[in-house]
Amino acid sequence: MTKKIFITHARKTGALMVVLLLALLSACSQTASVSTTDTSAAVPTQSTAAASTAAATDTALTPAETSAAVTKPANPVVRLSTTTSVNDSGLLPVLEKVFESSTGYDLQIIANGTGAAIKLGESGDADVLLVHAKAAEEAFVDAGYGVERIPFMHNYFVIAGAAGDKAKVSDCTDAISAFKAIAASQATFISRGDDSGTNKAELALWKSAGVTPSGDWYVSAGKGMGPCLTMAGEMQAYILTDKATYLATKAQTELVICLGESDDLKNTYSLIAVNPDKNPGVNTQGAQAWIDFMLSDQAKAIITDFGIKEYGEPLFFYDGAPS
Amino acid sequence: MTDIQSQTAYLQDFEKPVTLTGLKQIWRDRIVLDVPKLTLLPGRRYALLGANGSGKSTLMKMLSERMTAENGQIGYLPQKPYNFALNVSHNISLGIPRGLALSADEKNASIQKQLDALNLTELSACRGNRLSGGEAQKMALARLLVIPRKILLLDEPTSSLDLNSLAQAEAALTDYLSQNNSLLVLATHQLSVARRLCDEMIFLDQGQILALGPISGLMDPSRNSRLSLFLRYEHGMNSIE
Amino acid sequence: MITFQSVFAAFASGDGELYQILGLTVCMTLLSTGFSVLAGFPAGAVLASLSFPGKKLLRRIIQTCMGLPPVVAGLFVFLLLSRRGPMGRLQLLFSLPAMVIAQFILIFPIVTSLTLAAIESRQKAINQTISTLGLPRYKKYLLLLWECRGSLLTVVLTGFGRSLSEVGAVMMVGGNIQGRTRVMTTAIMLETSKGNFGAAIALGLVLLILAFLVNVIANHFQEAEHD
Repeated sequence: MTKKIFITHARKTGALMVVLLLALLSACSQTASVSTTDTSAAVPTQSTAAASTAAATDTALTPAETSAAVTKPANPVVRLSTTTSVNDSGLLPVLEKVFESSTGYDLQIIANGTGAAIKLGESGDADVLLVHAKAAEEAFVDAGYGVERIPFMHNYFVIAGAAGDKAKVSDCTDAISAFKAIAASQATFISRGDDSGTNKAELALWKSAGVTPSGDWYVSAGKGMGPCLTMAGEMQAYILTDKATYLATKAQTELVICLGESDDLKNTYSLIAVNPDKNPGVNTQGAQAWIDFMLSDQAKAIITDFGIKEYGEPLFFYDGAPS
Repeated sequence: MTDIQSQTAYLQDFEKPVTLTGLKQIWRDRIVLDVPKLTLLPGRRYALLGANGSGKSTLMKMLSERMTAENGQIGYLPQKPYNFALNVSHNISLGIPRGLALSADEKNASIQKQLDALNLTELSACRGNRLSGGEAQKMALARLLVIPRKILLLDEPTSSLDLNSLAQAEAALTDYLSQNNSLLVLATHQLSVARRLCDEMIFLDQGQILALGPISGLMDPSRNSRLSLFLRYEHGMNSIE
Repeated sequence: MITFQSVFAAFASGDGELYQILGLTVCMTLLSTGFSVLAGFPAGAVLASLSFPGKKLLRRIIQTCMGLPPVVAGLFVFLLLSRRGPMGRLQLLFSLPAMVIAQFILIFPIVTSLTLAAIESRQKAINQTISTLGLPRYKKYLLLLWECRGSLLTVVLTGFGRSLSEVGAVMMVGGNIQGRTRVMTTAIMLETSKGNFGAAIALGLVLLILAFLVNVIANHFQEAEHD
């Protein structure tokens, strides 16, 4: 009687183990196939840029493309530290695909608030930065953590809000008067509250407007651009945002642009390679490869094109290397 | 006659005999209990005798499940009663159902009576789960005796009691039975207790009733052979009595 | 700007913001644990005592819910309370009630399942003893809960700890709004994203100390029961 029960138990346990083993094996084989694709795929050179964009994720390549094979670099991992706003716009994954297939590097994108993004550069946890906070960037380079600050593209912040536009921001001609109007009407305003590039720009505007924002109407959320936009949508509030993330989330938040491009809303993005002098372990070659790629015509084409199809206008304006 | 066939019946008239049929339980190919029919007469005191594993507790449990009545008129004391982490008085008070609508004074009086009868007064404020085995058993008995009940089903209520406590318990029980004229089924392996308290006997062996009748039948030379075996064994164990 | 030293200095001096965050954390935790226990204890007791068709299935469902990913619960509550959601008109999103609701969804199955387990072991013996005594249903459940109070205290602690450490769901439905829905865990996330690792560590230590203190107090009561 007990023997029967024992055998049933043993059978059940055995079956369970077989299932687990199969699952484990299939998972392992999947990862194995992914990595073999990376190492064994022959990659086209920069001259076939157009074809490469389409073929980037294909494992099978035409003979013409396999003719110029790129050897895998010694240290293939490039860690890019960037901000959540850049990441939320959706531009980076597009650039990443092209970069990876044309150079054989593996780009790892780590998105954080500007403060942490720069900190990762200081501690050597990243190889190259892509941020948009001029003062903090200059301090970073001056302190010796960064090799050189390369501003290469820009876009504009916009003030977005509910369609009702309680504070009549759309009647304003620049950001400073818009902020004054919002403070005067005590309309709900969502601030990033996280020391990010956007946050710093926002605080600078309040300062210029001569307003110290406080009170129930000023909501300091400690979140990324996308989640803050969602919150603004939920609370029908005003928010300073970069146009790219705004457009990317417009359909869901149902906010409108109350004040578009004005000079005091320009937002410049820079590339900074982390200085190996302070952090010897960083992948300097990889960082340089990424910077070279970002300053190339290939990247220029992608960036100037980005957003046109979905939103009818470009999200970023490409400046290229400073002269 | 109240017939109870394999499902729970609600008793209201306790003047009538109760017949239960189909008391059967099988566990993993072994017959634990097989009693096709059992009739219990009102006011009688039955001693349920049998060795360990004969099915006494199973039968007691089944009786408690098959018969129900309101306001605690059927009282069941399991072999290992649970002692609550409340003081002894509170433990005993659990035996007083709300439906009786007793006043607080009446309740306290009943509880006090039981405490006195079973010599638990000093322990009345102690936590129920901190008592010794014997004290806990007396407390469980008190819980049952605290109000008049028409049927008492007691499974080994005195197995942990020393002679002194046993005397108290028996006295309390005798008092109770004479006052309330309850139907008693007392499962025990202590023959002396059975002989002192009961007038009928049911002998259970391997799940089956082999002997049934007046308690005097225990002395009858023509009794069942298995019963003789049982008595000899028990008599040998309790030779002091 | 919060730094490591400033966190502890702030607590010593009674700084507004940090006390506010701690206060809100404790409030949220007490509320969500409280509601979960209020609903979970009876639920567990009833499940332990009754048998009905589909009981096994219900048990499995509750046990599965124990492992519900917090972000799933957060997403569910978010969609529920969103302006376009069914309960949007209540305008509860990004508020303390929203966080409590999300946490309740996570903690209630845990409390129920653990209560069920704690009570099951004793319920047979207890029920056998009091089965014929004519006690009202609610009294039976109270007795069950009382007798298992040692284990149940552990259950409460488990729920409390779970609530204290929750970050994903709380971030989603609370929004980490300064002065309104910022709790210890989301504050730690914010400070980390800012690069303020020192402050984040300090906040984390405070959280640990809080959890430790609660455990010490609870253990005191448990020990009192056990001698």
